[in-house]
Amino acid sequence: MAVNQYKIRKLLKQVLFAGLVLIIVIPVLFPLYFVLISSFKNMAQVYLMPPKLIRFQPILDNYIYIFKTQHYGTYITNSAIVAVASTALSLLLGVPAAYVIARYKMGKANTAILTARLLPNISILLPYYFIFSKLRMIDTFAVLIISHMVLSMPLIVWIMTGFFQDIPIELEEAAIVDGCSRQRCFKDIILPISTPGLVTCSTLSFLGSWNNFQFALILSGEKTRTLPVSLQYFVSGADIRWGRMLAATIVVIVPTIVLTMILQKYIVQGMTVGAVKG
Amino acid sequence: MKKIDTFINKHIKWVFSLPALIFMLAMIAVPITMTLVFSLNEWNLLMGTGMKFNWGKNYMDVLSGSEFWQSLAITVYYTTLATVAEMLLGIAIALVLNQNFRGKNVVKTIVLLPYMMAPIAVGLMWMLFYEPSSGLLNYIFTSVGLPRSAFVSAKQTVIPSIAAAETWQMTPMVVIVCLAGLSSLPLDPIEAAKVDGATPIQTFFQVTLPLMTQTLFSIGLLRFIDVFKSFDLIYAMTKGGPANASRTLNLFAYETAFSYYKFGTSSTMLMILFVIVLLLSVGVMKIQRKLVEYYGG
Repeated sequence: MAVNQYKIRKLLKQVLFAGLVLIIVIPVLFPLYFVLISSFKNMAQVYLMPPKLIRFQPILDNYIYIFKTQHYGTYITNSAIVAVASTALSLLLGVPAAYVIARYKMGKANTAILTARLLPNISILLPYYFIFSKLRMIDTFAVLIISHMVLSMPLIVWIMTGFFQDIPIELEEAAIVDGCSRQRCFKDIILPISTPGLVTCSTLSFLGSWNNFQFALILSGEKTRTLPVSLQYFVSGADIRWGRMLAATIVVIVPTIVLTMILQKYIVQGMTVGAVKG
Repeated sequence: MKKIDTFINKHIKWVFSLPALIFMLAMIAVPITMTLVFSLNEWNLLMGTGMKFNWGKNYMDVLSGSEFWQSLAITVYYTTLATVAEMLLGIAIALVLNQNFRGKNVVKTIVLLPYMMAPIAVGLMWMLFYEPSSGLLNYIFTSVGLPRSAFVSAKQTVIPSIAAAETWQMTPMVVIVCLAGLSSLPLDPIEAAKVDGATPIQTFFQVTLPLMTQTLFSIGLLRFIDVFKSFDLIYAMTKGGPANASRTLNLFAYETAFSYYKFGTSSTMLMILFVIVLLLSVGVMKIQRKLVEYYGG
């Protein structure tokens, strides 16, 4: 009898806990599912309440429209070019800097980076617009890449400094005693064991650029329009072409969802650097 | 070749850090200085006249106008609402996910999804749910007997509605940081409390929460600063409307520059915004250091 009661209580607890987890998961998944299915519906179906959640006739018109009539293929390429190039260049400049900041304990540099991360982007955007329109560089990939580097570099240096600090210094000291130069030691010993950190900060930098709206809004144009900027053109006054806009939204968010599913562990690591350690 | 190698080896500290430092100086310190200079000048692009130094008149004008204070009040209201919601929800979710259960990693990934998405996409998504006549949320509201809401199209409800979308997207950040904080807690005090017969609720409020103070302060202030300067979500949903009811400082400065081309006045607002964020950031670092001293890290 007592054993039975214990079992029932345990089962009850598990059911309750599963309920709690569902309360957390459903508010995230249901909106995403709703947007996904709405992107396969026409205007009338989108507006139909109660909504048809499972059995409806999916149509591809919205997707055909955004790729054929609009230039979503080009926008995807533009976004990818800017995200990949700004990440690569930020790594090139930021990772060595992070290494010496960690090794030589350059505390001031660290404070400067934190300040740069907390800075309101818009307070540097106005001068950018001014300078780059004088240089006739608005609507070029160069200006988008440079501006996104300003956002990703502090992030990369911040994450990698934390990562390098945790690598025991003895590892290098032995090599240096053996006559290895510091830069070779960095290239041959430190970088290979830093892959997890590099994956973390590259992912976050790529996503930050892919999602960036504010800089691209001012600094891009018809030739270099990126995905987030393209989204706003579906809204004109009160009239929103939902189906098409949601298809475009799906195009913007699917890569980020896929990356998150593959690299969750690394992303979580990057998000907690500095926040917990203090 | 050999010479270059020895040179780098000797001066590695600067060879490695200078390119990044120079880039950041050129791209951040220089523009901020330019904004400061702009802010001290009368400068309207539409008038076609150049910059004219006007002895801080912009600051007087901005600070004495009611529009600025209204915008600041909206910003503080929006930021407080979203930050408090994110913190409470974030801590609650982190406590649930801190348990060990099957499929925990999958759940963590799902929770993380909104945070990784473009804010502009999240804003437009929520506009679909907020659609006043035939949107999903009003359908749910009427089904359960609640009155319909105008959400983002009414002055009273616009800020809470945008704050809800912001909370939906950014709570994962709080969850992840709290989870990391929880897993790094020492187990002894919590075990001791259990042995002493404390209920889980007592343990949470009297043991876990005090141990988490530092983490919670850091993430809370970081979230506050982030929301304070956020732009994309509000721009996507209302562009500051209706009747400027959701025009935060960031949007106000943007509008002044790129709709009215008053670069001088806009720069003044941006400088004020910059100083507020800077003061908040200094606060973050100071409090963090104090707490580290107090709790011994």
